[in-house]
Amino acid sequence: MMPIRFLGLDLLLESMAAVISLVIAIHSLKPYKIVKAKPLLYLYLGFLTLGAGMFFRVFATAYLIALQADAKPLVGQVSVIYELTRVVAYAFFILAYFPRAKEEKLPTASLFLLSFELEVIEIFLLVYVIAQTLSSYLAFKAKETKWVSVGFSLLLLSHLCFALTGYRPIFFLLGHVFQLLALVVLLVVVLRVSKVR
Amino acid sequence: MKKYRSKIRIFADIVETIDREGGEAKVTRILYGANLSYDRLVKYLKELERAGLVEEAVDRTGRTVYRLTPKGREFLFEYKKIERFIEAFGLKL
Repeated sequence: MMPIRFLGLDLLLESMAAVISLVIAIHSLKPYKIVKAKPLLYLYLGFLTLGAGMFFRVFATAYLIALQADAKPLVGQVSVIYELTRVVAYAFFILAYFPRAKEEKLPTASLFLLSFELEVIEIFLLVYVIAQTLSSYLAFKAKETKWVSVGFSLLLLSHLCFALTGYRPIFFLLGHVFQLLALVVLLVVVLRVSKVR
Repeated sequence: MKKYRSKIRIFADIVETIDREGGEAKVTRILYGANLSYDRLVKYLKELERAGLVEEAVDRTGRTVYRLTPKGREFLFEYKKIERFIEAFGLKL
């Protein structure tokens, strides 16, 4: 549950992260349209889902605040939907790094995943993505790949912070800061590789 | 094991070979550079010509060469950007 004192600031940070995520998605779509490679499509869908989920949380929370009624049960539902969009987004990232994964296995896997704590699942999914980018960096030593690993690591750090919110409320804000930083790093990489001549 | 190359990757290899040769290359040069059999190369060159990325020409010695068009250079530039993008995210196509 989000600490009430950060409400507003977290929505602002989340909106910025959502915009960045959608910009990265648009940048991923262009190469996909040209080379028609599925990993690029999954990367696009991952960032699109991530951005859409963030926007959903921002607008739904703002709407619930505007209602000013006892919206506690609805806040819980918004959080679950938001976390589910993140699980789906990270599942797309895994597919991007695991192109030969059989797509028909997904629904079963998703149902299986639903029975676990969502935050923990997201952490595990991100660990896999980071491991893939790191192994790629170690193999090819591309500077940009290193920064992509840093971006996903910051995203992982944000999830660890969110998981620690119950312990200290400041972790909630830190989580949003790391999430924004992660997407800024990924956006810088995308813009850099788009400008190379 | 032979590494799979997508059609777009083969196109890029052909165009890149011509570019490396100074924007104009003989068929044999492209053959080695793009690592293709003669039959497949001829087929792909025809497709590239139809797309306006390369054009057939005759050099000073009277031999047939393939020349990169401005559209071909633009394709190569865009493809390199995509390659950098794929490499940056550590994706395997």
